[in-house]
Amino acid sequence: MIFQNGELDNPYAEGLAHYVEHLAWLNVTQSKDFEALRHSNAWTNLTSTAYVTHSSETWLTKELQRLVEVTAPFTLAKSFMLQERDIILREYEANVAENPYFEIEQNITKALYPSSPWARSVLGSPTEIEDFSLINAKKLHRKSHELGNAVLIVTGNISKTTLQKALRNLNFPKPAAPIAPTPLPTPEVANKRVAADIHVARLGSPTLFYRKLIKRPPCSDAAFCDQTVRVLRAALDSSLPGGIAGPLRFDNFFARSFWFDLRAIGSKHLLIEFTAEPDLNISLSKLETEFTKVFNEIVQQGIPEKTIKQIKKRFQGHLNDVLKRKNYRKNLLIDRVSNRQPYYGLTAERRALRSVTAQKINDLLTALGQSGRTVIYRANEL
Amino acid sequence: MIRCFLIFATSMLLSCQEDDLNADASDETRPAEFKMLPEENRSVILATTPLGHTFHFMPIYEPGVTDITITIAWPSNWAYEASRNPAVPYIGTETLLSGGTEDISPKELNEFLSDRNSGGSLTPTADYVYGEINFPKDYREDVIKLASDTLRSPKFDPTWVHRIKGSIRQNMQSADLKTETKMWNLARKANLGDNPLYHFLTLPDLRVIDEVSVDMLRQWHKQTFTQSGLTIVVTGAISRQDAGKSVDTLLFDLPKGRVSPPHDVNVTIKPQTVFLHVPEAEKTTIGILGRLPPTSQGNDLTDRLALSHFSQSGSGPLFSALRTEQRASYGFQAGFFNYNRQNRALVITGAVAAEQAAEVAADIPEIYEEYRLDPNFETLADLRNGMVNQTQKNVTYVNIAAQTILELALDKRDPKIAPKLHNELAKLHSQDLKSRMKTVFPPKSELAVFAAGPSKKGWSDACVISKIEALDDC
Repeated sequence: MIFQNGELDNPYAEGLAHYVEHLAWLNVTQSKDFEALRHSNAWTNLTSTAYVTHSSETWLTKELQRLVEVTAPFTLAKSFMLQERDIILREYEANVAENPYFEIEQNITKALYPSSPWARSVLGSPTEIEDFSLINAKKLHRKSHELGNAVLIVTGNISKTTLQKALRNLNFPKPAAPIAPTPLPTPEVANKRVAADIHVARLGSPTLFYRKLIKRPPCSDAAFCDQTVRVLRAALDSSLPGGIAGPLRFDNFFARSFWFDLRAIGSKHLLIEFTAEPDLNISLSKLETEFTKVFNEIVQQGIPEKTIKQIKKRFQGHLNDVLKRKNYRKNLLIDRVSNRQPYYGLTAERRALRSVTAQKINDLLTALGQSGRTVIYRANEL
Repeated sequence: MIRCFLIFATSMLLSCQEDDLNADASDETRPAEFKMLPEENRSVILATTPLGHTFHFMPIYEPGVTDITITIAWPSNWAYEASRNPAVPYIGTETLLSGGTEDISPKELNEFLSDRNSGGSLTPTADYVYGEINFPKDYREDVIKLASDTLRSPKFDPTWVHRIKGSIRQNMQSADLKTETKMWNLARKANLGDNPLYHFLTLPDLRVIDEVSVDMLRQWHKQTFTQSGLTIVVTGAISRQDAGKSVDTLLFDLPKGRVSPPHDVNVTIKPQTVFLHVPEAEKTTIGILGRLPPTSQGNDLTDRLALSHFSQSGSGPLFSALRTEQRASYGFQAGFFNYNRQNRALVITGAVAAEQAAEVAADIPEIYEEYRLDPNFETLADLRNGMVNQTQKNVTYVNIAAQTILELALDKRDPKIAPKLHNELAKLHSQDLKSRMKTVFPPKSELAVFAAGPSKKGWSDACVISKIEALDDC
């Protein structure tokens, strides 16, 4: 069950939406005999809060009822709920403490989205976690966990009739009307460049972090918009003509390894991400210069049609793999819903891929070269 | 099989696209060369190639399955010889994978595989180097030829070797700065001692990476990638004849080698509590280890089920005690791992609050012992059924099937059970687990406790050291 409310919609301390998720799930799992607890999970991100459980057909109604009950007011002992802050601190320690990339990414996000909810941390900082307010958590729970704003996704080998029967047997107050998800906030992308040399503990290898946020050209067909971004991302990431891997990693030894991504932020912005470790005797400044030069040259010259065709063929190969596609479709659905984006199916995805042309890709590439908000961190070991 | 995604919103009901519902169906006709009886599908047999290599073969001819996996274990004793540089297999495998051959540059190699939706890996372990290639059947000949060339005549370009050495050294430096790595290195040093296997698994002195030369890599390559002593598995959309030919092509022109007997290293896990004081640490990590018999003796599924039940989220005794009651940890894991094929260890590990660490470390053996001797298996059937389903699903993947068959073959167990491994799991009952835990699992008195963290408080009963080299003082 996905509530289309996440940390972006939390007006309180950063990380409180995640605390609410812990409490809501504990409220269901700790106070009652919860059959599916052993195979359950919950998560929070910027745009949504989700609860996942696995069930046999026999227990379907009961398990669905439990999911619905995450909307119920908390009845756990106050002391237990406050102690859960310690568990989140332990989660912080287990998952992100001593991870230098986490700290750097947090700082980059703050610099990339000044004064915007997009800069919020889903986990929060240890100081914030220690001070989470139970009163605010209850307020946020009431606001964020409304059934009218929930999407229930059921996958498995049951029929639609069986599911509908189980749903009819649920006991919950039916929402009067659907609640449209809150529109995603619009980040500021005024032309600005933030660059800094930083020193971080446990980094090990010097690393360049380059991020650029731009407004994307208008795009109405969700499947097509996504496919265009994916094909362009893969082309740029490759060592084919028009890709950055050739000039940065293979033809020259500037980056011994790098990670490149191009992804949508909401429906109106694109984020370029390049994280790279320089080869021996290459400084971070030199790597930055070379990346910028290579990237700008590609934007100027465009990506050859042959490269686009090659990438499209690879993607078609991926989409044709049945064993991978089962999870692929489920994950695509969850991804779309949890990011508050319209759903499309595999057929639409295939159709969109076919309609991607070199011209469309190069139009989007040109947009990547426009002004935007750029954050560059040159990070060295402390 | 997933029939459909049923999407229900409390406020809306979306229907699946009809063409998506039928996406699994295929009208693909069976190729003429693939004459197979229905009962042969997903059955494991021992076959022989035209040139005489034996291999384990599991054909899969099912609608939509187009992939093929070939996996090979090359025996290696490099990890056991003190005279050899322990970093060589790591640098060697990485260079083989990404350094190209005389005929194909690293850049071309990269795109060649991407264009064919194919991939490969080489993984050095203490006893074997595992090689695996995955590719769709349409690209079989292309990919096999490339893999064969790579195995036979790697380039070992000094510039790439230099780059890979730098990468591995920096990655190791970064990992070694983490408290969790320090705890594992501490445990390994305590259990293995200062022997070649410890050096191979840990690389405690990173200067060995700089000392690796192209000559060393060539020597390792020549000695490792032979036609002798191999364990080979082929799975997927391929006939037995084509599988045999592919294996022969893959191994073509590799030298015959001398197969060394397995090394008789006996790991001792001495009951002790050692705390590594790391003032700059941001977390405290605990690892509790005990000895288990090697997987070659079987029953590892029993062990896995018993330890999963012990630590599972929600109702597992370890989770209940540490998270629900003591509120000391986000979660602890219990399982097992191999130092090498002869030496397997049970492990209970996780991160805890620094101020509660010593208390938790003392409590875990008690919780474990109570579970070992008197487990409550009320919820076992549910966990087992979930694991049965997951195992059944995993083994449908062409590459996981190959890996499973390979491990069984290396353990000299019957690879035929691989596709039906879930049935072995389904047969397990609480009595099997109880008996196994009582008789085979180490009692609490044989457990060793290792921890690393920022606070020495509460560790007065432990051997407290500030660097791993001081272990000899414990």
